[in-house]
Amino acid sequence: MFSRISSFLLRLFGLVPPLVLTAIPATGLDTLELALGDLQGNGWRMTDVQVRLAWQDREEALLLVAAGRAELPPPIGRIGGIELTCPRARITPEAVDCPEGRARIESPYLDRPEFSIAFRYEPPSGKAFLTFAKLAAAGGLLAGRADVAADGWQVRVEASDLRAERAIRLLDEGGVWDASVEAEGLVSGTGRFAGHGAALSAVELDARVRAFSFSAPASGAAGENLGAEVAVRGRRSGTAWTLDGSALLRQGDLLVRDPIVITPSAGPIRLEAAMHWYPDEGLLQVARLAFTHPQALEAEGRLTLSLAQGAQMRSADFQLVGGQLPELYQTYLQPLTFGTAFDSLDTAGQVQGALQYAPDGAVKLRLRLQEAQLADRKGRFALHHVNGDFGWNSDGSPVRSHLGWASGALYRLPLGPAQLDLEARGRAARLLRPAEFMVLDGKLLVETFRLEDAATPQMKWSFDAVLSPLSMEAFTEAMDWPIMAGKLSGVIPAVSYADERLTVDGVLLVRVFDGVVTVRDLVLERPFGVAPALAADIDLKNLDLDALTRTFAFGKIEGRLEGAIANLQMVDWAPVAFDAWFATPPDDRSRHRISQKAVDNLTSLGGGIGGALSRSYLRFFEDFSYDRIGLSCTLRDSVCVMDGLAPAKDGYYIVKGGGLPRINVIGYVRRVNWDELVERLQRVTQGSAAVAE
Amino acid sequence: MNMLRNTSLIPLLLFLTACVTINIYFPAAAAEKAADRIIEDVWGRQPGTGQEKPAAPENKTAPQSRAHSQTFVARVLDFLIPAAHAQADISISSPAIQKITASMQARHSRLVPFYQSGAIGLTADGLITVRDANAAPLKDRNTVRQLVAEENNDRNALYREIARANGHPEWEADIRKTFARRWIDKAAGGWWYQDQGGSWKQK
Repeated sequence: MFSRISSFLLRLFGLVPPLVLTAIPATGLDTLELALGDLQGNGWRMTDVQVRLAWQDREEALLLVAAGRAELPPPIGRIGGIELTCPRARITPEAVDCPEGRARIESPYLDRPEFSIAFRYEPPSGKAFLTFAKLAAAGGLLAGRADVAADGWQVRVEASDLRAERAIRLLDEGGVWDASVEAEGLVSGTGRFAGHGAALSAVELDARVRAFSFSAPASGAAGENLGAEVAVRGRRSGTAWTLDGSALLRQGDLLVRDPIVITPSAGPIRLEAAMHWYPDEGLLQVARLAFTHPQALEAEGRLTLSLAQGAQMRSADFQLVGGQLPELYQTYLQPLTFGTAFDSLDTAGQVQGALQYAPDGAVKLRLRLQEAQLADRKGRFALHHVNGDFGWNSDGSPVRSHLGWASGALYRLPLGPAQLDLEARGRAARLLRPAEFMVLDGKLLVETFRLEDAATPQMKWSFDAVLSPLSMEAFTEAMDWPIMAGKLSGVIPAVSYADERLTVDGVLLVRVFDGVVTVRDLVLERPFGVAPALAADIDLKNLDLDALTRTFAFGKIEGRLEGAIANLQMVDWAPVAFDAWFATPPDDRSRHRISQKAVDNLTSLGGGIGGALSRSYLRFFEDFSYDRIGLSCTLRDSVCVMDGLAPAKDGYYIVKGGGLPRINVIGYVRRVNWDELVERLQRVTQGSAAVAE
Repeated sequence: MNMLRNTSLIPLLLFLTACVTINIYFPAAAAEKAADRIIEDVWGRQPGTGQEKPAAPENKTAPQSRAHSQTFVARVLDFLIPAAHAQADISISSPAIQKITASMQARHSRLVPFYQSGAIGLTADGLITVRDANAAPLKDRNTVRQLVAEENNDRNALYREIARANGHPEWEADIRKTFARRWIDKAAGGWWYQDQGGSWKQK
């Protein structure tokens, strides 16, 4: 393009010598008129060219040049009538000078056909220049200057407030624009080009855009309401170019690559690059690339692109010098996690890292997390003071990673410090050695952990673990359940997760209240999704009621208890169905005592009047001996259908007395609203004072 | 004699048991009703949609799923034991379904402008997708993406839970298909949907 323009300019000036030669001997003539007909050169053509010279005095003349039509090199293309008026032209053998000319070009590209023009041509040296100004095109103004001399040429163009949408239409018609790229907004800038003959040797571009929006579907990039500055300095040596570029985004939203949108909320975002371009080899070497997104990310690197068939990465090496959460997460990571459990985190901390892209396409990624906080906004999990080193190689070769945190939480359950040593291998990862998770005052020892098909819809993971004793008091308090005494421990066999379903294969064994609770067929649907649904069958064996009720304000009961919660179904961690029964084991030989308060509470659960006992003479007894206790509840549709040990008159036995004084607790209510029952239980277990007389 | 009479009952019993098995086909009409109730909960009553129209398409689609299972024997048994069919219903009252429906309902008002602008559309498999990201301003695009991901998580959970709540996890695909059709039927004018061939159409 430049070579064609420069050749056109040279040929245009080349028209002048014959004019001068014809004009000079004709001194004394007032007017000279020439009809030159059609003129053409390499890439340009003018028809019906006429020149008219009218001398005002010995030195100055009125020069008029007109052409009917012209076809010029792109991007100008075909234009209509041309008129050039130089009221004070000086024509001497040394120079043709038009200091204050006016031009008029009929062209659909120009908003106004007139603009000012000036030129000077010195035939002896071949030096020439042409300037134009106030050229109204694409809604803005253009000005420029072209200098041609034996040792080279320079072109400088200034544009102010061009309308991008109109400018690209012109460029599109000129065939130098990818028509799929759309843009609108204001563009201003300066371009300087220098060269020799047909060769361009230096470029300086400074452009500013305002209220600028664009979309380039092929690259996936788009921008809205951008305020930005772009500068490029380029110099050719031999066939290679050295280029320095910088871009500064001051305002607006820029879609870099779907789905990452950057916006300069904390100061301008800057990209700088020092490049070597080898057009013959189709190679672009970026020796230094620096990207600064204030309060989010600072990265440097170098890369080599092959431009032979589109831009292809040959190799790259990036250092993430300073990555800052939460901005880094919100802008660069969160959009990649939508739909997963990690898509709404509150984050803080620092991230550093490195990314290498080898010529064979292999990617090596290293990330270091420093003092990070990761907390789910929906309250499902949180990790505090997270430190770690992550590695990943795309070729599937193993990389060790380390991750640790000081504290955290899983739903309501607080987690203590933990250190994990992991090995990542392609899309899989595993725990290198057993990891201990402090849970309250206990310990969860995870012996194995495997992750497969990470970051795919088929992702699955599995682990098995052992829970060493933690106090039930702490556990129940954390879960906001009624406080219970005792210890919780157990074996957690193969736990696996796939297709949004967590399955515990085998039996989960929990030692609590001196007895054993076994959980079978535990399935948790959508553990981190909407309305997590849990299903399980629970058996209770040989529980110590004394331990169970000791800190449980329900009232002290001594003896053993067995039972089951079969077909348990919980949605959003609230039970919605089960078949539960609890009873004194038939062969239980332990001491059976029940306190007055427990009798009252059991009575009120069974639909009797709480406190009835304390109003009778029985109030003098603190506790009573009993033979058996039994209660069942079948929960369906928010209704608990209750039953007891055995049928009684109009009801069922909850407690069958033994010894003297003998008391029986009989339940009369068969159907209780579950929420009311829970409320009642909470009342009797929390506010013992309210129950006592 | 007594013995003989009893044994002669066995085949009949087997037959009856068998017929019950045969008749557990997917209750398409009931599923459509259930879908419509949930859609109405989530979207509310939308003026100018298919809500007021007679549910003509239901009759058209119901026999389709019957056709496979309804052999001659089954049809005879249908006649003999009409109760088995009359009771075939789709329950949507499980707490999980109610939770999921409430979650979708709470999200819906935020999705509406993007349905209207064509940024998102209804897919043929009962989900939604970003149809034309350019129809949403850049600053909203990731919001749209997140809403779509959450909505689809909910919808997938909904179809699975309805199948499970009705004791037939294997119905999940049929329930999904039913919903896919009903979402599209009930979509407001101007909204975009994907037809069976995968091409986009506007209501």
